[in-house]
Amino acid sequence: MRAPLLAVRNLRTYFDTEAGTVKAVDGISFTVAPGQTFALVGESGCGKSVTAYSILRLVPTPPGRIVSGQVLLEGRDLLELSAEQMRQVRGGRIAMIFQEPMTSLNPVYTCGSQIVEAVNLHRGIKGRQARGLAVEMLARVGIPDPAGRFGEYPHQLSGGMRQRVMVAMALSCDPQLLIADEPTTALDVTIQAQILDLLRQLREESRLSILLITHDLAVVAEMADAVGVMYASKIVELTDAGRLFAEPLHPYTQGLFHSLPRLGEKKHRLDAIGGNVPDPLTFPAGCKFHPRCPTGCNLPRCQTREPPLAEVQTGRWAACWECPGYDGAPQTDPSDQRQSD
Amino acid sequence: MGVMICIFVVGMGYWAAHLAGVHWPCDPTRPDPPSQLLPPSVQHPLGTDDLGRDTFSRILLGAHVSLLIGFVAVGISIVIGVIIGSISGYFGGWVDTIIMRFVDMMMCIPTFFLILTVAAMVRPSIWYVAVVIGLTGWMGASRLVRAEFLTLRETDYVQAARAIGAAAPRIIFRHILPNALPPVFVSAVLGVSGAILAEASLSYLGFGVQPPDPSWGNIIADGRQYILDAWWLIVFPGAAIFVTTLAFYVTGEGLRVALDPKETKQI
Repeated sequence: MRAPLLAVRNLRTYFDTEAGTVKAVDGISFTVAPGQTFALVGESGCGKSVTAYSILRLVPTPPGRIVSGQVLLEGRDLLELSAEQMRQVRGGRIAMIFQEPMTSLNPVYTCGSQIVEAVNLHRGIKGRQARGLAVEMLARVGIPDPAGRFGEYPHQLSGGMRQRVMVAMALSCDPQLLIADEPTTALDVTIQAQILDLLRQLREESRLSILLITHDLAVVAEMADAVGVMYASKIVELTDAGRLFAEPLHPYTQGLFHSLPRLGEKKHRLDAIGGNVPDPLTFPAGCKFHPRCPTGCNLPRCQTREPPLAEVQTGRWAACWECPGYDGAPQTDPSDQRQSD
Repeated sequence: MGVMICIFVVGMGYWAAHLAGVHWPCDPTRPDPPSQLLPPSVQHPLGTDDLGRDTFSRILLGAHVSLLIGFVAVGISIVIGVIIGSISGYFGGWVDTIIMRFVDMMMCIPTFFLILTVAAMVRPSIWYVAVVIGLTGWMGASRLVRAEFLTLRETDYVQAARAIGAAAPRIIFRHILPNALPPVFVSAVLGVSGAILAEASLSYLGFGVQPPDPSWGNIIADGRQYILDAWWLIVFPGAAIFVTTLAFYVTGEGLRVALDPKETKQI
């Protein structure tokens, strides 16, 4: 039972639009243990990325605002820090890599100088020493001829190479937490595997925690120690990866797994989850998943009351009335440091 | 190819302007009454004016003055425009609204009459003319920079710069501005010809460069009384303005093509 590195507690981030307030993240809690990978899974628009941006306080304001909650990094609430302190955290303590390696590097500077900039900002290392460090980082992320690549511009590198440069830049200041926002979505499958291997290897080497944001369950299976499944701005199921893949509890998670092909299974059509993701301006009453849920669509309880997240087994949370053991389960908060490792 | 010729013309103009510093072929400001209003000849290739001064020498020295005013005025307007446009585009919101309404207001003022008013109040000199033209011409550049910033501030690499903890000034000047500059360069080069025309108009009206210093505008202004007898006093400085302006336009257009990655045409 180690103290978590990052604890997100009851975070709410809303966007004020002309059509009304969009509750992009509506009261989510989770923890990331030191040296572990926590994966946040969900479809497009469910609030995964907004959660990541909220942790770094990079949500554009206006229209976005963090309404309530806490983001505790080693017990210190990031939402309370001054802008100057927050800049020290960004890059220094928490680094981030993005979905699109093709556009995440500034086209007018060489790859090396962008790593040097991060090193300058956080470690105060300048000149030849910073250059040496940058070359060393490029070598660590597996870029051949790092000294030569140092002086190349982003357009001279392939997508996978650029993502490696992004990783080198993110890790150059020795952060404790790496937020990876769909780091492999834009890469082709062989390069995906390479980048995931790299992240895993770096995690082992430098005791790094990773908050992995993805919609790809294969990536989750490959990387994650613990998983939070998000649906319509909330976490609907949260547990360790082993138990989630062995026996998904929430009907939405079950639906996700059924929609994937399984090795050795003879099947002509994959199951789909019926219906569409609800419009965040007009979420359905009751459980937000009930119109699409195979079990709950006709149950009065599901249609009228939204199930809060409850601990259905030790270290295992779900938000579904029909989940076995849900009735009478304690409504604990996953960020209350009770999560088993 | 055309662009190369134009860069050559512009370069020649400035080189000629430097030559004029050594008063070649004749002293452009010393009157020589016996040789007044001579038509083009071997000794005076572009003729002489009413005071007997060599028109060719005066056009060369005038080139120096006109180009200097063009560059200084554009330099001033680009610096102001870039700073104001960057702030407006990066911060957006009410900052943007206030700055852009101010720009709209500045654009509504008939610039030329503003220049005339200011020029009438201060002692006319080359530097004042340049500063006044620069101070009234930055709005276009600021709008251009703002528009670039509006798109660039949403790019992933700017977000990435924020995520490594860069502060606003660093993001503005180091990460966004270098990407926003190519269209600004183009508008600057086009702006030089605008400034040269503005100076010529001012000098023609007598509010610009004052005699005995020659500028292309005041050579034409002086020559207009003799338009029927001495056509060379109007045609040659007019042609100088025309060729220079055209050269800057074509150079600007060529620069636009050269800096635009989507344009595949070879220049």
